[in-house]
Amino acid sequence: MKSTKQVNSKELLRHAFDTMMLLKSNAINVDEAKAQASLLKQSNNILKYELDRAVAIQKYDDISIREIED
Amino acid sequence: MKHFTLEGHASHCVCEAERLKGIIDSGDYKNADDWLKGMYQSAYLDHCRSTEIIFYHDADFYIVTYNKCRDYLTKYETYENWLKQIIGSTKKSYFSVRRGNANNDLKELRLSGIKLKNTIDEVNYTYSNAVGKQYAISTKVRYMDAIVDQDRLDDNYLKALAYVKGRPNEKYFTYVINTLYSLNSFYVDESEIVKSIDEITKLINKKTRQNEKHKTSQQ
Repeated sequence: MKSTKQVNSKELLRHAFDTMMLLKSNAINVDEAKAQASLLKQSNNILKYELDRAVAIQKYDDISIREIED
Repeated sequence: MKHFTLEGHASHCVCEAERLKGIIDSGDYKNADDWLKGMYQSAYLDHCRSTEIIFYHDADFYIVTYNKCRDYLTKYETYENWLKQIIGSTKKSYFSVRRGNANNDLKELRLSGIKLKNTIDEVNYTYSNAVGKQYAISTKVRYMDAIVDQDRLDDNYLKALAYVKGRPNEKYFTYVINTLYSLNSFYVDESEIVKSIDEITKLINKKTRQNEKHKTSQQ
């Protein structure tokens, strides 16, 4: 399945809030919420890595970070 | 940037009166001239010219071209009605619409557990009365949607500025676009978003554990 929805940090934040609201209103069960939380955590780790990477590049001139996407 | 053109004139408009004169002349109405005189008087100040206004909705700017006679006497009510037809529901208020600081709101949620607002006012149109008191036509939108739409708003803002460049009312349009942009935009730090997602994930996990505990205690 191909999704055309753009994924960025703000979309991820909205998804996290929506999941929380659905869980509070019992619209999703505990297992589903757990799975969503796990996915959110993994996605957020990538965002964290991006931020740390940007900070490191700004801070040190001669740092060589491996390009994981290559 | 989307551009709409509304055709047609109001019933009291000079153009419309002339059209009606043609109809009445062909019919058997008596005293039609007196009636038309009144019509012309009511339309005397109306120049029946084409004019343009700018609205904001859903992170985009809309130019509406219409004949001036359509907003005769009820200018802002007319605008509000158009917006109601496009958006669904609007409210007209004294200008008290203020943007919250999204960074602070998220930080308060993360550190103190203060709940986020559910909705926020989207300013669709602003105007001021004769003494300069400002009013706004606004709509309630979800707070999270407003945060997510910021990137789209930035893109559309630049497109709108490029669109109005070189138009007859360029200066006024630029001012309106800048005003609407500043009222509808707020900055959120990327690091704050990441920290907030982390916190919400923890809250979801906490809530699931509570639910499981509650379930087992009931059994």
